[in-house]
Parts: sequence; structure tokens; C-alpha cells
Amino acid sequence: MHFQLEVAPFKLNIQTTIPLVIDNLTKLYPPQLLTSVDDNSLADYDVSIDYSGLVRKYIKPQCSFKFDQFEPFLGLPIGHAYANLEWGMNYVIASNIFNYLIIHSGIVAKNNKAVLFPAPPGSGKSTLTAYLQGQTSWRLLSDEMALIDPETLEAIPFVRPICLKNRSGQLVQQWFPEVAVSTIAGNTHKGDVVHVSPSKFSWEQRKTRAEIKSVVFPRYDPDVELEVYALTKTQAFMQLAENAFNFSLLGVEGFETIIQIIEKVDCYEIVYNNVKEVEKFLDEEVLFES
Amino acid sequence: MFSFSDFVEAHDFSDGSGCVLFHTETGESLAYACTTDVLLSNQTNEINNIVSLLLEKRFIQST
Repeated sequence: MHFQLEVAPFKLNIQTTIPLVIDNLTKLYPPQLLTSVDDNSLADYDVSIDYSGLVRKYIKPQCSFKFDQFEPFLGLPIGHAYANLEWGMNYVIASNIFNYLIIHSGIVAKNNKAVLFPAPPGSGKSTLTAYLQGQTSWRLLSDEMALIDPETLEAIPFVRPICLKNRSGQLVQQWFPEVAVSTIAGNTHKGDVVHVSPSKFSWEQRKTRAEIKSVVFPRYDPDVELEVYALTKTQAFMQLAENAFNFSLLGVEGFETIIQIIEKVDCYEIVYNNVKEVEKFLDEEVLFES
Repeated sequence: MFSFSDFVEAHDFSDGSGCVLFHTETGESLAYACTTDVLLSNQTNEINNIVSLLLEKRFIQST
């Protein structure tokens, strides 16, 4: 089957015959964003996720992700097919977009004021992002990559399901019992993984840009409720640059963009285990919403 | 931001915490906890070490 997925600001054509993938796509994306199309429909990118071969359809079934017929990853067990598609779409965007600065970061906004959470895997940024986007007036821009327009410094939403690992998936289902959750991709290189659908408000606002108000580098620590450290602009620059996918590819434009962001906003490092305290800190000290 | 040399852009941060240099050919950036004026003054042993690093990474050229 051929689908077209509108994940503003991009359109992707997806070809698949794997029922697990079709079921999860229809479960997690709003119906108006996922349409059945013929295979000649125009899109920004053409991807496919399908059985690795006839033999691999029946014996230890595996799936392969392809982008324009190029296979960037090794085959994965069929149970990982939907997660593989989402990771593949991340790869396509991260390796092909040169008109935006892309930062490996969660990003949420309240009243169109955005907060970036740049961090390496395992820092808890997706869990924190998932919690905040479900709170009143907050919305998701992305749990994985912040797209920034170098001309305006605005954050561009790239709303898609949030990838959660191990216990984080259960935690988010406790916070939001009604949330749509994918099937579990067990024992991936990231552990057990699920994707959860963002809030209705996040989907509705998926084309509304936001002004960046702060950069917060999060680190989860089970023993610390919340500690906040203000970063100097030099420290913040280096940390943000390390998390930028295409910083050096953009050249001087990327350098200027990061400098302008850092000069414009306050930057913090937080160590936390209490997401409610983080929300309170952001409301009172960063966005001045209380 | 200003041009430090033909291939290097530089910026002194407004909070006085330091400066950053960006090599336009290699895409590499280096940050220092001092201003670019101090970096260029080349007065101390510490600065000499920094200058050696800048030379090594082709951020500046010896004359």
C-alpha cells in the first residue's frame, strides 16, 4: 500500500505491506494527515518499509527501510518495523535538510513561546517533552529534532509520535490514560520502545511556528527532585553546537544562527526527577506564565 | 560577529564569559573563556598554548 504522510513542513510517501506498520500509522497519526495515494503522488521524500525478502517474510521475518531505494540500515526483526520507519524518517530529515538548523532536541511551546531540551539519548528529554506537551496550553513541536529557521530564528514544528524507551512508556500511559500508543518494539538497540501520539492541541498547532525563549539541557537523576544551573553563553554555545546535526554543514549560517539564539535567550542545565517541578520552573522562571 | 582571519569567524559573547571561533573551511568551532582581544594579545604562557592549538588546527597561520 502507498500512503502520503503530511508531517508539516514535509510530505513523505510511504510504501509498505506490513500490517503492523499500517496499524500503527493509522492509530497514531490523525486520519487527515495519512491518506492512501497512488504510487505516482508527489512528495518531498519517498520511503518504504517492507519485508527484507521472500524468505525473510516467513523465516525469522525481517524488515528493511529504504529511502529512494537506498537502504541505510541493516534489516531488523519484523516486530521493530514501525519503530524502524519512524527512525528512518528521522534519518531522512536529519541528513537532507539544509535550509533549517537541526538540533537534536525535544522542543515544546506554551503560548507560542518555545523551550528547547537538547540532550543525548538517555537524558530523559523525551519523557519530559511527553509530559509537558500533555499539559494545558503546552504543545509539542518535536521530541527528537528542533528545526530552526536561520532567517527568523523561529522554531518550526515537526509534530510526530514521541519515541519512549523502557519505563517511560508506562509512565506516560499513567499520566495520560487515553493516549494512543504503538505496539511495543522489544529488545531494540534502545531497549523496549513505544511511540505515543501527541496531544490533540499539538496536532492542531502543527503549522504554527514558535519563538525560542530558552534552551534547557536536561539530565534525569532519580535522586534529585530539581536542581537548576544557569549556563554562561560560552558554555551554552558549545553544548548547543554539539547537539546540532547540520551545524558544520550550514557553515557560517549555522554558526551565526546558534550565536544569535544563545545571545537572545537564557540557558540552563537542569537535573531532575520531578517533571511537575520542571514545569513550575519553566512557568515561573523562564516563560513568566504564572 | 567579525572575521578573525580569512577563514575564521569569531564572536565575543555579551555576558563576557568568553569567545568562540568558527573555521569556515572545516566547520570546526573552538570556545575560550577569554575575549578575542586577550586571545590575540599572546601575552602569557597559557595564551601561547592556545595559539599553538589555533596554529595546529589552522585557525591562524604563522607569519
